[in-house]
Amino acid sequence: MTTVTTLSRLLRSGKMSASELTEIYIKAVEKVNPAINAYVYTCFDEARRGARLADKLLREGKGGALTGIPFALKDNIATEGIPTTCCSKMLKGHIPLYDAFAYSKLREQGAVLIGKTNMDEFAMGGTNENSVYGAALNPRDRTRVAGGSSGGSAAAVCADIAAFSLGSDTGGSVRRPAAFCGVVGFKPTYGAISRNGLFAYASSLDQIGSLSATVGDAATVFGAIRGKDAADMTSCAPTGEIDLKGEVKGLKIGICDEFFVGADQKLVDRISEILREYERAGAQIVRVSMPSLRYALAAYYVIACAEASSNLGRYDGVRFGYRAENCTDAAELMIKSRTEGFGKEVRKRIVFGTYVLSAGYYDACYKKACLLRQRTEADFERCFCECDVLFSPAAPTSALPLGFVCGDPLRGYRDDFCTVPQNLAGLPAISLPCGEDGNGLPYGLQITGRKFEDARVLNIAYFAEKVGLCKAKNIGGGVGL
Amino acid sequence: MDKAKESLDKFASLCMLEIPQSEREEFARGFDEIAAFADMVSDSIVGDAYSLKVSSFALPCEKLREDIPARSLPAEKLLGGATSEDGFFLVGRVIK
Amino acid sequence: MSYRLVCGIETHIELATATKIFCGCATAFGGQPNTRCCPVCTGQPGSLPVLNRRVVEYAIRAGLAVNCTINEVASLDRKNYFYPDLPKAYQISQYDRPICENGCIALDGGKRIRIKRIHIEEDAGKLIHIGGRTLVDYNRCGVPLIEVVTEPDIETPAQAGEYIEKLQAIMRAIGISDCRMQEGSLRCDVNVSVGGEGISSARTEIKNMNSVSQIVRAIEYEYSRQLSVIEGGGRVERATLRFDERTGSTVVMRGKEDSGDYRYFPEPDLPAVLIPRELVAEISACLPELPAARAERYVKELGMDEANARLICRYNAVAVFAERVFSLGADVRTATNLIVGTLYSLLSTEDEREKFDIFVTAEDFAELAELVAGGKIGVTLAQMTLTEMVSSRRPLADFRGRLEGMDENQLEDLCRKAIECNPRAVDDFLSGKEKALSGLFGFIKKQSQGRADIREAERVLRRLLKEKQ
Repeated sequence: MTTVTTLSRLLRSGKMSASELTEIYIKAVEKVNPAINAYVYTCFDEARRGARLADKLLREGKGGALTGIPFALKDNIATEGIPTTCCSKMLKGHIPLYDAFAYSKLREQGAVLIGKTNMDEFAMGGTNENSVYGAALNPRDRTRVAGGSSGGSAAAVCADIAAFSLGSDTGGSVRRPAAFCGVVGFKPTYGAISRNGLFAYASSLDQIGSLSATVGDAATVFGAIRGKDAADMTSCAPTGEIDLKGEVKGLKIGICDEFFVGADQKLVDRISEILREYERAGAQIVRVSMPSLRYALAAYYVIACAEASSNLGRYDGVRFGYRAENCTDAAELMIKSRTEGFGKEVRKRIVFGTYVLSAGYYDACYKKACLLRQRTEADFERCFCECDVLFSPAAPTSALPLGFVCGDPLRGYRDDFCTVPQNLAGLPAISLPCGEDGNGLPYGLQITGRKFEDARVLNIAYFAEKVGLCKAKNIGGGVGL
Repeated sequence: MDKAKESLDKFASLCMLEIPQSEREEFARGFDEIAAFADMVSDSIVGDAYSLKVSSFALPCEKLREDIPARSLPAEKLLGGATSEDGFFLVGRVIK
Repeated sequence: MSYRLVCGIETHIELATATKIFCGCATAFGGQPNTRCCPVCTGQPGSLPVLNRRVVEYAIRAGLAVNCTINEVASLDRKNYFYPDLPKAYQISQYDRPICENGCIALDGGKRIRIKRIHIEEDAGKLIHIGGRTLVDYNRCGVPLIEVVTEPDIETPAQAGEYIEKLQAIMRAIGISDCRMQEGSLRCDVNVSVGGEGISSARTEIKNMNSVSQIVRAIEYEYSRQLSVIEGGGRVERATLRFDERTGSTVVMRGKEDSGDYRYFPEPDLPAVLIPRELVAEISACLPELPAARAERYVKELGMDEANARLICRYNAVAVFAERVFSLGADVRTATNLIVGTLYSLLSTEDEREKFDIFVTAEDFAELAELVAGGKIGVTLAQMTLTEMVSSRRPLADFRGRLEGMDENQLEDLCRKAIECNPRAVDDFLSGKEKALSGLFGFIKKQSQGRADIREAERVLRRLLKEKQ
């Protein structure tokens, strides 16, 4: 697959200019995107401008690892002057007044934005079918979903029409589509990447993450966009040098049965094979247990929806976004704008969030959910006394068929149990391509580390890549460099 | 936990949403499904005697933002995506 | 059945910081609408609050000035409700762990009003209602506020008025706000209910009053209204009211059904604030002398009369001026009387006394006071001179001629003239009416334009009149 590393070498050696490379990507997007609906907005003129600037940097010898590299951003990351809509009618045509921190870092380094990618509306969903622009399709099998909520970001990388992309992960929204599309999805420690400019879903759970073809690329992107941002008080300074060696001698890998419930046998078997390779390289397998996992999903939905109900209150038609017509008073304006602008899933979660926070229910719901969250954190801490990382499925199965969860929304929620605990505890976690099911659809292996040990998680994942255990398969038809 | 239809309307109006007549059945069903999570949470811990550990996310006063003015946005930019009049945002009558 | 007023006050005070509480927009007053805004204070998607350090420090200062405990850890919470002036549809405030708790303000005479808590929060924007529509300006959105909440200790409307004036004086003295009710930098919501043995009655909340006198009248009206409801066998309904200036009565704004469910929960975008004891000690050490302490010092060390001390210490600018005058050696009693008597009658409003814009230098004032104390000129002359200095904005130098006393001969001539022109008064005096002399004094004062020393004049008059007898 085309990687950031390869492209960067190409550009810095002068074999190709950033402008030429960008044209290649533009053509690839035009050719491939209609079939998969990964991009919901393209900014080709902006991209060409960015490529020209990148070429200037390269000519001056100031090119870095991401200079001239074409990328995509999930449609909930603010780009000044370029529409950012969260794939919702509520924000159709909305033009942000400022750049997200992560985006501005990428711009600084001369990376080239090709466009904004498809997502579940306001990041609420696990299949990218809740989008006002229609579902993002899985490039490996277009009768299946790309996963959600960062489906478009994963599909773009998978289809080789973006060298890398940024997504957001609140309960698995980077890791799950990465697993379904067979690419690398990395969700760093909460706070490692500034949330400034990320249109909030659930503030204490949201984190910007990357989708890429390799762990190496994930590390490059992470290094470029992490850091303390004065505009985000929850952000923290970088912790640990990123130095990919793939050393696993003495590593203790924890396996927690609770994470494997309902997982395809083929997936479980493949993970076992991978574990044996790690053991052969000097790692140790440790069995651990996390009893709190039983309630983690419920706690997640209570907290996420509570915060979402508050975060989405600002969408009322007054200052930006969709504004209902023919309203006689302000209250009617707000009610109609919100009812007409938000999709069903979003409205449902807002009402649920309002319910769990309301007087009479707060103690039983929200407060208890916070307590369960603390137990999840404590369980992880206990596990990490006995092991350094946890290996688990990123999703229990391969990509679901289109329309599957529409008939069974609870199934859609339940799958999240693999990934929400890491958001509850704010831990770094990465999803790697890990074998295939009987139909050739990829599975995802998830590696979870201690808080702030992002570099370590990347290193441990890198081993699998280095020895060829977890390689993203090229489906062809994209850029192909 | 009472999730009768009247309560749904009460919660909906608290968050400035309406449940259109055509959607009521479906919405109530969908709400019940997700509300099961609330039940699960509520039943997970028995009794009132539990205390929430104070979060470790805290900053000393010195690390907060200094009181130094930054540039504001020009009004035209701010008003760009909205309905406005003479530099103000415009809404209908507000019933106080 | 004995009833009593049960009253508590919540006061919102705008802090005089340079920037808003969660963003770097300036807090300056006025300006074109929506020109002091940014993504944060207008709730644009993706924006995040960044807490202003000075806001926390000012809140600590305020708490220390009213004897509160300053909590070691304070945290912020979201108060969720919908209104066009609230861009995020939630106000970031403090619920569980405010910065300050358990203070008090002592009223004259010793009554203590307990302060339950002081917390920080952000202000909302401004709405202008015109015709069938509403215009919104977010300039004020995000301006930092402290909310000072009392226990329901206030027992009379007068106490409420005094509490607010004392609170204003203290907050101004520590320099965190100009506390101007008319301009909106200080706003009070008053809770009123009826108490008494076996009584547990609902309370009502009165908002949107513009002055202390309105607040006092509103409380008077509302208490008597509630009393008549109760005495008539009815029940007082919870409600939010406003005060109608014209009719002098309270009017319902919102009924009890509309009391909001704010769904408070901890603000996830902001850390809790750790307040080290060293910082508190530092702020405490830098606190200026507060009005009450200052007044006490004036009484103890300068021998000032208690009532005058309070009158002077109520306005920071006045106290500062007075102390400068005293430090220049002026007699305390004389200077005080000139301030409280003459200056205060010229500066009759709270605002004027706060501003204390009088053009008179402390040096000139001190000299004038000394002339009186030293017997060189009469008090009347001093008062008249001072009045003219203030109203015409001229220095003492312009009045030196007039201040020169009369020499003995001039005085003697004037006294003879007084006796000549006031035969009636002279006759009355000679027949034993001592008080008749005052008529002669009046004549002398007027004729000399206050220059004559009345005590000297009295001596001369008595001598001359004795000769007459």
